[in-house]
Amino acid sequence: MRKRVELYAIPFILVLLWVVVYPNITLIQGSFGAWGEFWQSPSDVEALRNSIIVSVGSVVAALLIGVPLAFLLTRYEFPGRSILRAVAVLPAALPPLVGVISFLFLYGESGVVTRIVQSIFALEKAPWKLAGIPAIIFVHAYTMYVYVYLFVSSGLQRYDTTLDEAAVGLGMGPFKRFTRVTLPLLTPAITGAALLVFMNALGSFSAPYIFGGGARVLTTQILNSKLNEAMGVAYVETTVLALSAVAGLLLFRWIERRKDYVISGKGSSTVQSIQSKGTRVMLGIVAMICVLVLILPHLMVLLMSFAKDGVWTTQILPPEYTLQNYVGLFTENKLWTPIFNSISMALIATFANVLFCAMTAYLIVTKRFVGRGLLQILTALPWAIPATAIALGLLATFNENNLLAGKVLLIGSFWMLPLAYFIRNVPVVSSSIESSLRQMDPTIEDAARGLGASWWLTMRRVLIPAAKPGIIAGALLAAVTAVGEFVASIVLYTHGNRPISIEILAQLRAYAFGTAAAYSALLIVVVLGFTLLARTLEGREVISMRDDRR
Amino acid sequence: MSKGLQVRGITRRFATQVAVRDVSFDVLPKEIVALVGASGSGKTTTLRMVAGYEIPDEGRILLDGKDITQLPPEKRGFGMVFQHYALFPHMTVLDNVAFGLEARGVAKKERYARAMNALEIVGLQAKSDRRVQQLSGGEQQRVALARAVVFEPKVLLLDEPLSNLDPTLRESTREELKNIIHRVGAPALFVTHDQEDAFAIADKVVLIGKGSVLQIDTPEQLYKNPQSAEVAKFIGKASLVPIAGGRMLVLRPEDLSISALDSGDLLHVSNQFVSESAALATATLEQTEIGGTRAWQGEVLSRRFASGNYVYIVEALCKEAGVPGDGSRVLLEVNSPVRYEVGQAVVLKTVSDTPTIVSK
Repeated sequence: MRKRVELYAIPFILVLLWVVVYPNITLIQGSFGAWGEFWQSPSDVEALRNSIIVSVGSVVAALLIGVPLAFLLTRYEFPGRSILRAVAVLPAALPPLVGVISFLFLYGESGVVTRIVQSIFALEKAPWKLAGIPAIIFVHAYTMYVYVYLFVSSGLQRYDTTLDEAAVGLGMGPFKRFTRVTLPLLTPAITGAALLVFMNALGSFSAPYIFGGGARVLTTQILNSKLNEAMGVAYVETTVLALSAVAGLLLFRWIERRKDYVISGKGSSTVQSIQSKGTRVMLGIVAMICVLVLILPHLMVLLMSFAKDGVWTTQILPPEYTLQNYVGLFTENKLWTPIFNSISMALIATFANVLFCAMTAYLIVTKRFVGRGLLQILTALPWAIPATAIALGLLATFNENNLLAGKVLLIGSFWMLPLAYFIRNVPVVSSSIESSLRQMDPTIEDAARGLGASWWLTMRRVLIPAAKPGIIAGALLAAVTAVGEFVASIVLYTHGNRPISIEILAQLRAYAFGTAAAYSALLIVVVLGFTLLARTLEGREVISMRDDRR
Repeated sequence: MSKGLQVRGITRRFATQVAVRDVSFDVLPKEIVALVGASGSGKTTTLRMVAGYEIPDEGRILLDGKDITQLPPEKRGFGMVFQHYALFPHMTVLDNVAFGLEARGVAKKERYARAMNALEIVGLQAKSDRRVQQLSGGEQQRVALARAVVFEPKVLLLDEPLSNLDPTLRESTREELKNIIHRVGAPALFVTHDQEDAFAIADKVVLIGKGSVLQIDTPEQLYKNPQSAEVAKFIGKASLVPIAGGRMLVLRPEDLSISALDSGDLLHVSNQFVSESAALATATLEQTEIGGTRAWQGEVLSRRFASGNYVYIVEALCKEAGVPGDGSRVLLEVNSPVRYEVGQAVVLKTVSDTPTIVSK
């Protein structure tokens, strides 16, 4: 008899059980005994409450921006539409932390926009403080509305406008038409996007860490407990965070299932040209303001990267500019090390991701075997676990050499971060390669073997070329996420392997804004370039699947 | 020693059902055999077992006397044309055709030369550097064929090779396909649900229903001598009329003639009917099976015009001696150049006095 497919799947299932499931079990085990402490601590209860407020608030804010924008841009023609469309997805190209820093430069107490407003109205002090829950939601709304915008736009593009015409024909008024026909049909797109925003906001770390002020959330609280070496409480907080994520996931899936429509047909979305001159001018102005708001963070980072450190005091814009920030990155050993670290760790993790996920995707798409469903769930699972929880799980598991318990000492070693990056990117790389393989005619593998090709020749000449777009797109997205990764890194890094994001934070603390911005600009260029490349290869779905909780 | 391909009692079970049950047949050297059956009859599973993609739970498959039941597909050396062709989308036409030679380690120069030869056989040498997506369906089918024959396969397998072609192309391709298979000279087995394809190409037909072999015969024999009602129903547009002894009369459009019913006819028909019935009552069963022309009175249900003739569906009352009950109403198809109206009373007569009869 020939070997069964199960034999090939077992190693992959075991690896995922070991690095994804087992750490979570260890975490929960470690949390026993500290639950009382958690519920009695006012700061922990507050953190849980704040996390939920931030998540729900972010969902609401992202919907309020994303849905109208999607309608405006897919349904109507007005001056400035094409440029607004082009920049509408830009916030997704800001690496975690970098987006937060650019907001600090723009809207912080001594930020550029804050100072402009202050000088216009001749105020004595800053008109607002960028701190607390509203500040966190503000940043989230900017970076996360993109999911809503993309999901609803694609829903609207597939939406058949003859449905609206039918509703008109049946005598429905515009309001009733919207609430009874259009909105219900868009529910799957909206809930899908809302879930993504919820999960990202819940796991968000950068914004609360930088702007939180007095407002604690679970992710920052976990890091605090870890730094105070109160590991029991940290494990409880992590478990609560992960459970909240699972609860959110189930809730949104439940809503989605209740309104399970499939929008069929090609969709005959017609773009309506706005006729009234007044409305056109007004919309044009609004569009320009939106474009400005959307690209300001990128421009600000770019500008700051050329600003000379230490001379920007009370002026609106930095007064002196220099190339020294960039020169420093590539000439000073201390500044170059993080770049080298990030690139090498991202390459290692991405390489492992591609090898591993290409095999799991191949098994999942082309084979039928016992455990296929399990493998599918395991490859998607890291998506549902907030990065902070992944990091804490690794911390709890790889803290000693104990082969009997399946533990290896990785804490303090270089390998902890590549491992974390690998785990975080398993879902995106898998789904990207899977979608490529699904487009392939499954019989071409049979055809190759029937023509006498060995397994390896079939792989090399037929399957890998067919999966190539997905492999490249998945690799690019994984590399992009890994190179700018911050949330897991801050829990797991050591001085020796500190990545770019940690160095940006260190430079900020030292008030070396120019150097921090130069690093950030570098990341933006890498992320933007790689994302555009990946998108041309794989289409939009993969981008929106990208796991970049900030 | 060349014995061709022998399939001996293969059975394949899936979770809840038996897809193929105890199927046996031979494909002799240079013979073209068609596996014919409705969708879900198990013909494709049978082909996949012959190709090596499925392993039978029971039974054996022999090639020139050697047991190849467990041999993986890449070691069998069969050429296969897939239903949707399964051409490699990222390769040129020439690379697709040369792939089987590449797998056999043939040097680049030689494999391209041989691939060009194969393309010449199917008349596509001019398009060797095209991408496969740039070809029409008919051209893709020929590339798939060239790819399957280039390495001189021991057996040629074809899964619904004509099903993706449009009707006009299909007819011309049948002849071409038959010629190419003969040129290759390997035993060929092809799967089809279309009996016209099977009859036009195959030397021998293996008719499969519900996973089992119903009949193995030449096309002529299958048509003229169906061994069961199931076979008769599948082959041709036959209607089955129950007759004495639990048997069935096989009536195809060409077995019947149609004429208008007038009062004289009525008498004639009923007379004939009565006289025949009386004769039947006394005759032995054997005699009634081959005996005489039959006639039925009926009513035209529908009429359409096709290929220069009117095609009628007639509802007839069949009362036969030796069949219990008041007779049953059957729908019979018949062709005629004469026009009758829907609802008109007509008489149907059998043309031959040696009708085809099957047991139930």
